[in-house]
Amino acid sequence: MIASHRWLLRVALLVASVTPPLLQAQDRPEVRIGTQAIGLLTSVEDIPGRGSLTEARIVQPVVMLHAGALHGHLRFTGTLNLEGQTIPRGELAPGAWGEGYNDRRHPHTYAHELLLSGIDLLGPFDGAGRLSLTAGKGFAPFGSDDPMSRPVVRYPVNHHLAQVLERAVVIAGYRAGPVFLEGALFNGDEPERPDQWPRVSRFGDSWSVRLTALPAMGVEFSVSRAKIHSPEHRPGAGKDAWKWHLAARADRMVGRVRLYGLAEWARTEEADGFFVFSSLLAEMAARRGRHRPYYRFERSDRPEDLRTLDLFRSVRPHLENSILGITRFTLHTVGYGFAVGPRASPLVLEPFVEATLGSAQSLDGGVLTPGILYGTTSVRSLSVGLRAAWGMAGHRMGRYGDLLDAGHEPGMSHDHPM
Amino acid sequence: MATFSMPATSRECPTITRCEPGHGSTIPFSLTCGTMKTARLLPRFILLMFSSMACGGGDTNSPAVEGVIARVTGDGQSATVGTALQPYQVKVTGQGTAPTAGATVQWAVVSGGGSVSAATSVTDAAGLAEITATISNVIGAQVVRAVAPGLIDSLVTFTSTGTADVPALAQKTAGDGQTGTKALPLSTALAVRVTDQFGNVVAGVTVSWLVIQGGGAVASLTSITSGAGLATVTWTLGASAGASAVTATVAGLAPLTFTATAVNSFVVLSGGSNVPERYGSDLWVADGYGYSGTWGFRSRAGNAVKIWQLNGTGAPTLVDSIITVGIGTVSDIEVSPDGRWLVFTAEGGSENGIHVFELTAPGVPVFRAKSLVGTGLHTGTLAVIGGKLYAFTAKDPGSPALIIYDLSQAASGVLTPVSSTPIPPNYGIHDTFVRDGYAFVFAWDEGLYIFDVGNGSNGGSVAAPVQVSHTAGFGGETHNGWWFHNPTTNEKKYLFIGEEGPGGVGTSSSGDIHVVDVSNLSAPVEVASFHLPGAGVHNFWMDEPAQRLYAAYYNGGVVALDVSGTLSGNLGSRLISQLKPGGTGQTYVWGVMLYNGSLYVSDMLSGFWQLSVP
Repeated sequence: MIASHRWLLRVALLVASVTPPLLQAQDRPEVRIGTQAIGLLTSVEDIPGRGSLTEARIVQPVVMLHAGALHGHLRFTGTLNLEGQTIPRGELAPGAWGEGYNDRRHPHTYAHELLLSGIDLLGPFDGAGRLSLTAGKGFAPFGSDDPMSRPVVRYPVNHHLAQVLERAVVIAGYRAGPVFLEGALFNGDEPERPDQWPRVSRFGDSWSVRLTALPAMGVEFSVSRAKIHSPEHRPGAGKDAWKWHLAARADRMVGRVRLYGLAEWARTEEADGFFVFSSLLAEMAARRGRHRPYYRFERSDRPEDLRTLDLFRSVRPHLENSILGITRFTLHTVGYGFAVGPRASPLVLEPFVEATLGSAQSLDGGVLTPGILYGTTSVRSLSVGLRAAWGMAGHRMGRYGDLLDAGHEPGMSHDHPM
Repeated sequence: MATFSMPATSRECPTITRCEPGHGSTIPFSLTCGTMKTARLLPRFILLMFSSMACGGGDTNSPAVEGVIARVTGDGQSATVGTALQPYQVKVTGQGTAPTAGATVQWAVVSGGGSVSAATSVTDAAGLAEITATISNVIGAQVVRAVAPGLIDSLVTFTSTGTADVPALAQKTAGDGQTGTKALPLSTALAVRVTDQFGNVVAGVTVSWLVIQGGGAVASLTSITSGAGLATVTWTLGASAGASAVTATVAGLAPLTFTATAVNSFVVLSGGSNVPERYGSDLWVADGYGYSGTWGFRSRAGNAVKIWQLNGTGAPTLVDSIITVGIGTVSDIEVSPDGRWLVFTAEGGSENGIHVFELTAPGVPVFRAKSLVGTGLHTGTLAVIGGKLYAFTAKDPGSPALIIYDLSQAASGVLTPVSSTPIPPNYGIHDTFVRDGYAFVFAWDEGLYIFDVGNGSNGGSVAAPVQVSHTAGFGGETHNGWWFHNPTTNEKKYLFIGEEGPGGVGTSSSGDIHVVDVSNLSAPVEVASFHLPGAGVHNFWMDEPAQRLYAAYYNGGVVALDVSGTLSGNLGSRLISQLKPGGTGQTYVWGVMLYNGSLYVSDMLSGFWQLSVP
């Protein structure tokens, strides 16, 4: 337990070391705190080893701190994620994978985001352009927003194809009008436990770039490229991953309805192209008043790793360069939420129901096929839950510097999450 | 005869009547026309004309009279093609049975070719008439018609058969130029077709077969041509690789020579499809028993060691299993040189580590000891050093290390780790080969480590291994190896290293064999390599006296390489044979081991096999 709480001390020290100067350096320092948790009852029909399973868990318990100083030139982004306590064995989610978990979404590290950003560092010296630098632990500029900040509660299968998260990262960003260019260096290793920190010795062995265009308020297009060295073998002897990501996103008010849509394509090549995994995802949501229906389509590939006796887990660190097959998940997730909390309050209470139907097919005839693993190629899950949030601002996880609040329509930031 | 009367309009049916010589009555065919147009009646008209010709023999003016024509002699003969038959004779009789003299009989060949000696002949006083027919050059039936015009029963036929002439030609039709496994029958039987001077197949001809080169045998020294003129025989090649030949001889004709090339090849002798519920892993064979591990998760976890009893021919039969609850994979397995200890390593569960069983009798393991290692042991290699049995194990995740266990107290349940040598966590340590007091550690991205573990050259021991050298390279994914002691040359020059590249288990693999000159153990140098397209190498076994390397090649099956002489550069030409025992799509070979002249194979997909070696 002592080790597991070292992160708390680190967070506290960092926040303490940053926040007081901010408070002294400007007249009205901005500090924003938000928190969220979701009580979730999920039933899955076909699990690894066959049979069905129903679990109740608290997922996505986060505490978020945003602070700004020096007239917005210095920003702090912190997200404390307590999933290491609430879902240490992961969240039941057919198709999910990564960090040694399969068909369970892994718990995130406690220090999910912990970054400082210096914004418009050159002031008037670069004209209308704005240079920003961000450093800390968080998302590399690649792909789309963290699923936690998106409408569907269930994580998509492509989480590790479309996001690069929880790295020690330094990001340089430059904004020229509606175009943002970000480049970053970071460590390639993924965490294996919630209390694990990035390997400092590996900082700089991986990179990513992302070009984002915002042609209109609430509309965004992006293209990303990344090379990640040995993500699944922390010491660094694993294979490299080369990634592409394209996305189109819209989030704006249309009349009295807030509409959200995201379409993305992602592709990861490993071992010099020996393995290729791709993903197509489209999701949408609409909020009017208290009602919030949403839908996601996804077709994503998952590498099958050697499992342990717990078939939800795979051997970590990854020992060899082989996989046991590639499974393509084609899933439809539909949900509906109804806000019951007081209007015009930072408190949001939203009961919801969410169902996923689809299929899993072996792409390459490997030895771990859906038929062997689940006894079926069908994917069926049903969740009911209650989202409770207070003061959650429109922070899109994975966007820092000038992109932190970019692209939102005025007044929409407090609607997070959709 | 037949008549055809066109109706007044084309919409009416024409009437087709059948010949009734001498009676004049008509029997309408059951043809209807409905609204048939005139143009569509043309085929029927043609049909009618043919009917007319068949009925009357061409003479439509003579009135039919009572009388018959009948065969007397000559029908049903058989003769060589191109030769004359005995005469055909008919008898014509009138009212009652009285012979009709002076009647003209018309003769013609209806089918089968050939000829008749005269188109007509006239009956004598006894009513007899005859001609001579000659068979055509083609074997088969010949039909000759005799017609006495004007009679009610005016037609008879004679049928005779033309048979082939003597053999004039023999030809090879199948089986020539084959390549086959030595000492095994060729896949295609040898076949010869015999024909006469006219090209007719000749049945019943004796063909004699004789092996004239390469040894081996034919299934029969002679065979008889069939009705199709074919004679066949199965040819089993000789015991040596090389050119082979067989002659086929037909009396009076020049012999034919069939050639074949006998090659070295693996052959499936027994086994396979015998572990359907689990994926296979490593194997060992000793004292008439085979032991094979299991891996990962199929319909059951890889927590079993299968025990195979080998019969007199070496064929395996599953007789028992060791199931160890709490493990997910049996990652390596070996029997001690004295046959007393069965040792396996385990991963993927709570009982990870090394497990030791005593073979109180061959094939009868009794658990004695284990040492658990939380993150598992990837491999274990047994070696006797200083008279003691040790297990050299590969600890991987976390803090990779070469852990050496003393097994001398295993009977008492005690496994004593005598040393733990850290290996950099650059994907860790995968396998160890121990010989002459040296431990060759195959350490993935780190490459090759050589430790003195008792040789004395560098002052090392099992308790305190001393590093002799460290060499990176070998494709970057150094997995396993074998230090080749060549009894022919007395050299200890070559170390074979397996590189395990990326792969999709069950479907694809990559990685080559690297040949390293370890004449100077302090400075190993790669000198040669072998690449098998489309597959990657896994574990090795060697037949050192034969200077052969056998390699498991995952989806490439098993491979035999000639490693005699000097090894340099690309060893592609050293490939002796390759076999996928489970067939394409059902082959993913983990390991091989030579025992009593057979190569035993553990295939992850298709189970435990016995092969003959090339």
